[in-house]
Amino acid sequence: METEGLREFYRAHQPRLVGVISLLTGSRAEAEDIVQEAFVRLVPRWQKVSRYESPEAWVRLVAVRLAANRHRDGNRFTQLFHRLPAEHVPDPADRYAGDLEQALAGLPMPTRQVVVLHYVCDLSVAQVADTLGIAEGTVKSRLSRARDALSDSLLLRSDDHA
Amino acid sequence: MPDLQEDLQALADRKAAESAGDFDSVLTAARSRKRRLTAGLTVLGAAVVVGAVAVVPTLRPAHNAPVADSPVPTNLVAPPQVSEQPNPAPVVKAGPLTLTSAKALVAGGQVVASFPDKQVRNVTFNLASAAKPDVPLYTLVAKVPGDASTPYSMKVIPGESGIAIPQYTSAGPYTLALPKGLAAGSYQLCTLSGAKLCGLVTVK
Repeated sequence: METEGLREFYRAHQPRLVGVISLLTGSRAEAEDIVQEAFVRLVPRWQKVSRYESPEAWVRLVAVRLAANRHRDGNRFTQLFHRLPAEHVPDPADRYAGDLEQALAGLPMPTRQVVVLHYVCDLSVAQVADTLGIAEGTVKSRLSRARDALSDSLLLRSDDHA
Repeated sequence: MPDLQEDLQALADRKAAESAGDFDSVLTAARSRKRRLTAGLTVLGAAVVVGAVAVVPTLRPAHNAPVADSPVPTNLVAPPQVSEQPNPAPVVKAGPLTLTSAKALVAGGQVVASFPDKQVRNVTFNLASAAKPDVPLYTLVAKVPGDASTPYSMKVIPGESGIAIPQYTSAGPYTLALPKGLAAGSYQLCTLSGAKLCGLVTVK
């Protein structure tokens, strides 16, 4: 019975969570791995987490942290082998690469987390601060910097459409 | 900035639409991870046991043989020393006093005491409780040949001294009469002259 409940939960929230995490990682394939890992960690805790007011918030938080960890580990790896030429290999799973996505990928990970949780997950500033364990003022300043950085890409896109 | 929010949500929706999840693989991964965790804990427990068994011999005390010319102090353990302390007051050792009919006596009954050392002694003896041999209860006067008033006993009263006794000595044996009011129990009978000899008398 518990497995069926978890299966329904997975069907309902896994795709959207992949979409959210894709904006953090810049790669849908990597996002799928991360979300899969988050759900694997949910399985042994499902009885407890299912009684939470918002179980999807638990999985989302795990996935967001996993994405941040991978990003940090990836940076360390890059620094370790910084003498090797950085070659960008496009992910065949990512067929959409717009200006906005590229601009988002250019933001620091902490700023990206704030943007995604606020604009995509519809969390308030206070909720974002609580989720990430930072001050509300920090959330606001990061959102401000993100808007400035992303406005260029939006303007460019508007010019293209004009 | 509503455009930004709409664009970001549209981007997330597009990614979500392209995603392909597999719930069964999630379950499989979770279960195999649990099995690995259980196996790991089992191996860890076994390693702890093996480690403990290996550590026990190392906890045995080191041998105490000193190392010659060792630059550091060795584990030499000083043997215990025994010092002899002289006894300040020599105790008179009580020797055996041979008593016949000393068991199952009744109060007022008679007992015959003889001296193994064959030494000549007076006719007086001390009777004390076996539990408190240092507290004399009665002075017993043995039977003196030709004296019909003997044998008899006198209760010892603390603070009083100077009792009259027959001037008779012998190497024994002496016939003694126990006091008539003597309670049942074990008593120690000792000589009052010469080397101290004692024996036990039981009154029923």
